[in-house]
Amino acid sequence: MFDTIKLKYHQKSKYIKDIKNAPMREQFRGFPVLDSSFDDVPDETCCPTGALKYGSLPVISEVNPDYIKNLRIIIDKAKNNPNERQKLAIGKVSNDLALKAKEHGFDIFGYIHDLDVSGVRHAYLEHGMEKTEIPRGQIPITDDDFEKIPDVLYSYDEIDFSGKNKTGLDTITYKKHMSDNTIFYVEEIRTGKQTLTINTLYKHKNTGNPRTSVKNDNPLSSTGSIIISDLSKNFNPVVSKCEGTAKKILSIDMGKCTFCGNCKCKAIQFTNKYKSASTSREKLIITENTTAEDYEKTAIQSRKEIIKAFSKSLKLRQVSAAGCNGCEMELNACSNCNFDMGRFGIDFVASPRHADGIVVTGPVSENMAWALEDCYKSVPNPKIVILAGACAISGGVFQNSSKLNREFLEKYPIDLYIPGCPIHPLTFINAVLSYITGK
Amino acid sequence: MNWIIIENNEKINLSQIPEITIERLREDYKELKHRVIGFFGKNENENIRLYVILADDNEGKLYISSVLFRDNEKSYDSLTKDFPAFHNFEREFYEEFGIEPLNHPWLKPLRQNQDKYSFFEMKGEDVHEVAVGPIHAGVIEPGHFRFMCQGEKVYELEIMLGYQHRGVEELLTKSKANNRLAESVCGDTVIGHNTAYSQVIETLCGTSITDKAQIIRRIALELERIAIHIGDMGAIAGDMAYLPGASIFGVTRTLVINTMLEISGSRFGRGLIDIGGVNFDIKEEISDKIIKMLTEVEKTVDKMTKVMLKKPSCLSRMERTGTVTKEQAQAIGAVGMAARSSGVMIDSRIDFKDKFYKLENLRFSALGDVYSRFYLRYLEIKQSVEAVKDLLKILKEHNNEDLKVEIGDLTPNSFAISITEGWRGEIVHCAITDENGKISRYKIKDPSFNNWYMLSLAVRNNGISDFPLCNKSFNLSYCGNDL
Amino acid sequence: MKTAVINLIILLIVPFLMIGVIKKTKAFWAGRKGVSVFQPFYDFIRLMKKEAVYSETTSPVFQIAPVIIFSSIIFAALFVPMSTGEPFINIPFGFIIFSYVLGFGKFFSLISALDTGSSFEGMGASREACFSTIVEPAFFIAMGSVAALTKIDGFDNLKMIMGNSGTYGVLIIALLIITLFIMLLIEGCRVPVDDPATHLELTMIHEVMILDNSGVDLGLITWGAAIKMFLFEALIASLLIPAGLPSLISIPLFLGIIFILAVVVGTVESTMARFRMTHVFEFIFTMSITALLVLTLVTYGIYGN
Repeated sequence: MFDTIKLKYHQKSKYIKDIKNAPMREQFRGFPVLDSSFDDVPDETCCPTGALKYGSLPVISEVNPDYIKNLRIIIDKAKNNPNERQKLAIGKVSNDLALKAKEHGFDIFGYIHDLDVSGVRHAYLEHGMEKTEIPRGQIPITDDDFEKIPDVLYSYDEIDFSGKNKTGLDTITYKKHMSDNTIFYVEEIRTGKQTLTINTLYKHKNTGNPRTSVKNDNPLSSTGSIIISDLSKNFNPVVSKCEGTAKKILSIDMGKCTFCGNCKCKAIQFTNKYKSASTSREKLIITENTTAEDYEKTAIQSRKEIIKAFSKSLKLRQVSAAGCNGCEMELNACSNCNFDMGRFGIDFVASPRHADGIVVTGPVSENMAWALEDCYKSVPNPKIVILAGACAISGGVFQNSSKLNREFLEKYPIDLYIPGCPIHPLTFINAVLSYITGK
Repeated sequence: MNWIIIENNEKINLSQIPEITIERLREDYKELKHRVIGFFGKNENENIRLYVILADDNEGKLYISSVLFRDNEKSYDSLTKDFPAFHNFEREFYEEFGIEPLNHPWLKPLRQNQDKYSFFEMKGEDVHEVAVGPIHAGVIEPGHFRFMCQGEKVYELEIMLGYQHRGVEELLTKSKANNRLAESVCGDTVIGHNTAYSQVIETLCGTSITDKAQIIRRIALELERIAIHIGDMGAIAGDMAYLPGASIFGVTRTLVINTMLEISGSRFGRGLIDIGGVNFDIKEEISDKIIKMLTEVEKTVDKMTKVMLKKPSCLSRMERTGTVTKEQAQAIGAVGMAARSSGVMIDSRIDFKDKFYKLENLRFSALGDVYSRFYLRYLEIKQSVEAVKDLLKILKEHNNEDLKVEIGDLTPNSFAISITEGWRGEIVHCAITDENGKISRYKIKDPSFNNWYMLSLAVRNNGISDFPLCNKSFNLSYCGNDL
Repeated sequence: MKTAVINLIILLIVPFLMIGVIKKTKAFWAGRKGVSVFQPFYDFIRLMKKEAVYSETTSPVFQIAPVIIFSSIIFAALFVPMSTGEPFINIPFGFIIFSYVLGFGKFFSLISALDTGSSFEGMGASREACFSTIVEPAFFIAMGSVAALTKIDGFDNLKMIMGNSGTYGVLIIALLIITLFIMLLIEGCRVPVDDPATHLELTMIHEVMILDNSGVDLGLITWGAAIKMFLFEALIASLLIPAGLPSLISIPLFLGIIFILAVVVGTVESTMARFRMTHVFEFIFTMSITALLVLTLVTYGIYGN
């Protein structure tokens, strides 16, 4: 007792008072700032994880990797045994799409795009015949066109949420200008089972003025490489920065970056800013146009339900899935006396049943895949998923390993991406705090 | 000549490695009384060659030999039944190459196919089974523990790991230089593993780096030791629910890792070491800062440790809890800090020649219980603080040297080995190149690989509620074992 | 009637505040800012918004147990003297009903833990049951002695000791406070018996039994646990508040004692390590011994001279 008082006297309170503006040592390698007007851009190969790109912009694929492989089965079924029911997942609904849908009044967080036999059949019957399509000014669809669905869904040019189908279900229509000078339309219906099912698909030749028809309000279409290169080939350049194909774009994907500083040069500088987390995977890709201030303001987009439920109290369950213990140590450090995360009501708890969300660290090995999924299922609703560290977000330094099974991350919605290798406690605390308070 | 004798960080041609039989190996092992530190296979056309590395701690030499298994030989007589230290090595070899060690007392999976394995079971009226994991209640790595208990007393603990298996060794063969991957072998021993990796590649390239880089690497290694040891002491206090210990050690650790951040831009020293040297210099002002910080840290650690060791409630939790005797530790081939706490004095910084360290084995009464491991950590912190101060002094003499040198190409058909004493114990990295000068086999042995079985022994006949305390006192690595 | 309403409000609100104060005290000693004292309310509100997940292996017992546990604690609370020294229901030998109703709740928490089929929940249940068997007789000895001393069989007899029995009464009160304080540490699952902040499933006692509860169920159990701990503090407080005080004084006094006790619990937790599981029994037997001492003193007081 007496000793404790003495210790207390010796050891003054050391917690960081203002966690949002906590000072950071200048040596810390945080948020990168890029400027390719300096000519010393290093070679891409210096990057151990492929986060650094100088050329076309990387596309984040949330698409089911087996889509193309299994597509033929569905098409065969649609042609031969149309009464059979089979579904094929295309991929997860991106957070950006979900946020946009939210503005139009419906919630599709955590939904999955999928294709079923009846959708394919409908597309063929309605839009596959030459004699019906050509009078309408449309081009009959072929088997290959189904392969382009993910491309349309994830990098559409225009989107329309206002439709309803015959039975009153909400429909979403995606429109995209393709490289062969056609315009693709994909129509999805929102079903009750957390899925957006492809209803139909049709295309026609682009006859209008491409400059006015491309309404570039989708953040993805300004980053998707396919669009940029396509536009520059076929249309007059819409976005000034992709003038000609020679102009290369310098980018760093913070979801892969280990912040090792190997690529540090005049063109690439690492600031000591630590607020690098985002709610959207696409935003983690930093280009020359991204400034730290803008990023900090827009990167974390919270949701009303989350703020309502968790703003004062959030309990998390951490699942270490084949990481290196670095992120685990930093997560433990979040609860120490310096960072004192507990004072905001954010804690790590022992049981998934007590938790409101899981924090995944590590690239998810085959051996941990089932345990991770079990743990997620044990968490009562509403719940969130946070990916902490480069390994969890993209596989990081382990991305080429054959021992991984990242299916879980493809299946379930991710709420928050926290970059770093390992994550810094301040990055984690600030990210979670601004996600649950919306500030 | 059954063995080729080399030193730490030495390269040899593959053709120089002798070939012996398993029986010869058994007899030599018995006769030489050296420690096994490497026992791994490599595909050689249709055959499999098993490399064996023994360490002579007294002389600081390494003994290397190999055994060839032709493609029709699918088994051999196990070494583990005679020498328990081989138990995990043989399991690993069996798992990777399918060559069965006959009469192995306990041939269970090491990293794969855990779900197909039926666990060790005890029968009896009062025996009950407690299974924990792979996901634990705290923020720690995954592993599965199965206890056979009678009431609160543990008869037997079986540890099943492999959940962190992510194919590090395979990935390391794919690229020539991947220091970032080496750092992620085990995130709490970033410097240790990265040093070993860099050294083994430098050895294979025939590059010798500057003394300055060598000294900075060692300073970082000791700072890592100090930081983790303080953190562990805090964690031990936390497991006993002794709040002042947990909070004060926690805060003190932050001082050390933040100094690491000032040196290298990362709290754990990531990005500091690269093949060919180091990326960051320790300048005069940082050097002064380090000394100031270490003095303060030492003072706080002294004070806190004294208070804790006076507290009856703390002492009663630590003393005679989780005891591993010297004989047990020796038999199972324990290494590093955990082995030293049981009185097995092996420390590769001292045993193998190193021109920068001036260390001596610590003298203390090693009883092998939680208390010994706690107290040894305290002593090692003090020892490392002195070592860092010494190294900083020598660093001044090498001020004008380069941080990094150019590295050449990997020598074809070679074998190299590097041993580094991380905070947990010796880290062994071996690499073999093929005729094109590409790495064809990379082998890592983390100290945890030897020491996990110590934990099983430690909790025998202890209360099950003392298990977390024992576990923390070892603080073994799951990812270092699973790779 | 008015005091009863005030007491009811105290009973429902103060327990969470008390937990908040304990956490704040621990944070002070550790050099943290710590959570707000209202954090337990926020946690409770959050839990009320959540769904509950039930494992496939559990039976309906597991689902109804939280309600039974909570209501049994509330029912038991009706027999405990509150701020004015009067229980809500004052009947002869209320302390026996109190103890057994709590025991009834505990029985359900034990079988609900066993119902999950998890090995450590079973372990936690066996530890909890084991401690309870030692606590119960000590409680009866202590309370029986008080009844014999004051010659009042209602639970409001606690306040009668002070001021009626002189210096000899002070000694008895001191011993009773020690007894009840240790009971408080055991029933409230605090250090050195149990560690409420631990993340180690193998060392937990109370915490491990509720690992499988979620959402509303968990909210009820944590609220119930806080109230249960508060009841023991209330018993200590009513020993220290002499009879006949006007409620204007006794209510603040009562709250003050509760606050001080919470700070003491927080300080104990900050200054000592938790006992080894086998050592905990020795600690618990200390309480049985002080209870027996009370009995001896009372017997001596009645028959001695």
